[in-house]
Amino acid sequence: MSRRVPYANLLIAIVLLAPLAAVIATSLNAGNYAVFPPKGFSLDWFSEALGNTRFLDALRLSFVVAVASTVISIVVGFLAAYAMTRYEYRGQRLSQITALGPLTVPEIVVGLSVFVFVALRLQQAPSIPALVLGHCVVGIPIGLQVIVATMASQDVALEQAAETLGASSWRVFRTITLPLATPGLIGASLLVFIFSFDNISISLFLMPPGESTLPVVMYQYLDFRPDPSIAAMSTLLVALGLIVFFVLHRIGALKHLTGSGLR
Amino acid sequence: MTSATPRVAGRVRRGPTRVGSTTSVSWALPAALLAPMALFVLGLFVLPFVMVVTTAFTDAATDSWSLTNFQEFFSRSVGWTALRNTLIIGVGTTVVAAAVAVPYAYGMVRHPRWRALFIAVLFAPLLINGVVRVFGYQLLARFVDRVWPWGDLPLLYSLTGVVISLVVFMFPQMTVAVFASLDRMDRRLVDAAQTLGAGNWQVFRTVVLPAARPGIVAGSIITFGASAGSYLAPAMVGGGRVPAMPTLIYGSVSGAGSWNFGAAVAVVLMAIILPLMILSLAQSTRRSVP
Amino acid sequence: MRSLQRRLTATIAAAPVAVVLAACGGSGDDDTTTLSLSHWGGIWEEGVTAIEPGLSEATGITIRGAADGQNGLTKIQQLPTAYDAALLTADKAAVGLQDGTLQPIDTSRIENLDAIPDAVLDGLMVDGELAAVPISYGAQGILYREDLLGKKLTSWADLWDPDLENNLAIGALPSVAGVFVLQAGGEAFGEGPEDLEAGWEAMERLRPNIQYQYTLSSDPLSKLADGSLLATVTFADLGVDLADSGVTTLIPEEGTNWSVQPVGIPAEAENVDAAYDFINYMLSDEAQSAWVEATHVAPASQVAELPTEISDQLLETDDVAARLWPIDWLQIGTEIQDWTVRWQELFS
Repeated sequence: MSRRVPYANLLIAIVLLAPLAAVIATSLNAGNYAVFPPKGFSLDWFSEALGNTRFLDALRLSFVVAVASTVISIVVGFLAAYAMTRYEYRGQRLSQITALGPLTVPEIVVGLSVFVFVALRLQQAPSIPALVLGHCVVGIPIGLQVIVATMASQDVALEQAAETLGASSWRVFRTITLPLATPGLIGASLLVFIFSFDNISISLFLMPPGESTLPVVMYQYLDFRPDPSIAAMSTLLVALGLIVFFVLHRIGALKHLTGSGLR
Repeated sequence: MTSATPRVAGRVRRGPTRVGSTTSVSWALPAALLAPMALFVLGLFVLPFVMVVTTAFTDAATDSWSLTNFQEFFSRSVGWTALRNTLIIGVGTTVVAAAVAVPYAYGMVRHPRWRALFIAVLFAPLLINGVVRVFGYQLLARFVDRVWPWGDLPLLYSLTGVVISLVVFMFPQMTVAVFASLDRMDRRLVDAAQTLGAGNWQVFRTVVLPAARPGIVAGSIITFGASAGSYLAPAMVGGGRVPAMPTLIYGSVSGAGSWNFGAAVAVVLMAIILPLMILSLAQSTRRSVP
Repeated sequence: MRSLQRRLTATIAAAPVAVVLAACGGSGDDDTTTLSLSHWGGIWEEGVTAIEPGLSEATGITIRGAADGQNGLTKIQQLPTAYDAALLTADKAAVGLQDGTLQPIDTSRIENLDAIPDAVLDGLMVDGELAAVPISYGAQGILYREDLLGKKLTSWADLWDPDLENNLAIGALPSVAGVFVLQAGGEAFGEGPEDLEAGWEAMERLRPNIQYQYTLSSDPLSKLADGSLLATVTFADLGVDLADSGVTTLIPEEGTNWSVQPVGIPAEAENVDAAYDFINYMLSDEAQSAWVEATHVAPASQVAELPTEISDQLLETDDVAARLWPIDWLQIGTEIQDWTVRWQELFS
């Protein structure tokens, strides 16, 4: 549309990325301390981070938990969003307000109360399923908000027209509603994945013995160790994220988000 | 659209109907769709939160019903300071993040060739844990402070610094929400408005902003909840000078282990955040789209 | 209300959630004894990993550990039979014994108890009973940039030196690191480290010097290293690696406070024998060496024979051990809530 260079966006991008650049630069420190600008240059902290099996085990668990929480949250959130934007029913407002609940209290309260509830009432020790369910408590409302926003801004006239022309409900859903909701679903998935992948407060209560998620391991490591291996691990995560993004982009999986999608 | 008109006239109802006079399909289907969410929110949030409320109204010493914890909160100056700080943090972060996110998302719509890059920029920091992002912010802030020749910058250990850092952390989430609804905008409207001689600002105000509204509301709800509930930013960027509701809660829960006071703070926090969120939710349904 | 709540619980949430949880749970049976241990993460978890091979060789016990961090006691309160032993903070251990979450230690079953410094052991006594057995402790010290400050610090009172204006980092309550500075203030300007009122008063005067309060122990270290901070109060051993960055570590003559890493036994622990075997093993020469090497704190057992390359690194000499201040962990555990509110009021 516009051929000019989007200077405002570039400026915002630079400000946004600056702290990240500081972390990446810090990972190149030669010394034992994460200082910025870095003193000396070395890649040793990358091999240190990659050689830390705790980090890698935790990365695997975090990934599994984030994927599971995202899938559950998006399915559950999409069903609810569909009801909220396509139907009118008694208690509609109440359902929308209730869904906000978990977003109104700090995560530690969610974590502690879910843990106490699971332990006290259900007599269950922390486990990976409990951890996933705990993340979903906040993941569902996050996903729901984004999906509702996307579906609410859709033009229902399209759906009405299709029905008038004799399309079945399922067909309308599959060929119109779902494709139109896709950007919202992708955006929501990313936000929920990131929420779960970054979470510490809920995880601390619900992690099963012998297992830790990556943010928890990194946080606990950082408590007594100021060395740059955390910065190196973070740099690797950025690289990993960008590679995944690039691959998804190339195979067209993100075209609803990055391309023009349906017009 | 007012709440009395059906959203999909063809399927469920064909005209305005009063709640309660509908066929069985009209409640059974939405109820089925909402059931999984209701199960999660009621089972794993509302019921546990009932225990939080019970704890808040319990005196730790006597283990009986009392308002002690709330009295303690409202009688201490730090309670009021934390309340004020948290409101400033929540509202400030949300407003600034939205003010930056809307033009950014609009820029993504206007410049399709740059879009992949701008989205990559959004997601680059997000896989990194919040502690490390705070750490990166601190490193950068100290560096900027050192090379900045014109006086002191409030980037660290101040309320302003906490808000700035949270804007940096929450901006991507806000932008994704805004972009998800802005991307649905009919661009022919922009072209039409420009053809009719509307200036950039006019186009932005009359076409872009209304289209972005549901996304702004969704993003604001997420941002407001996350920033008002953030512990790391006030604790690490605030450097002990910016007490906030979450720092009081953390102090009580993980520091002291007996958390009646923290539960009371959480209840106060929810009593303030929830109405604000409901208000903004009402904004998203008051739409100008036909 | 209550019965309604219970019914809702049962019908709406409990059943499906419990089914999901149960379906995915389940634990296998082992031949060896498994000790379920709640512990801290980070270096402490590395310490647990370091002693594990020796432990299973010596006692046949394997550890099933959970890095609960600060949530350890809360978890035991809610799941009383989940853990056989717990590495806690001393204040939580004392509170845990008092409220019945932990069982008193049967001191006759601990072989090396006499080898633990008196101050460290006394602090963990609640009404004449021992809340948890210390396996190590770490003295606090002042870490500072002598080169940039241009002078030597010698005592706790030097933290109030105007030359440190806006250049000191201290721990924030509710971390005990904050309490330690209160005690230092009591020592410097009052009757002694127990004189907390003098400490609070001194805190008021320390404000101009405080650049910020840290929440992570390692946070001030990189700032000391790059010179944007001149002094901090933290674990003395954290300064050892900083020596080549110009950082001097001081443990003042008048004594110091300390943190301790004690192991307690939950009141309803299922495997108490294994817990005692574990604690006794932890106080053995072999375990103390492995633990100290991984965590850099001082061995609780003063008779433990450590390899010289490990003992040479330790700042906690016998001399320092003799000057440890008495700390009443139960008092800290009980009052930290009020102190935290007061503290935040002071600094906001």
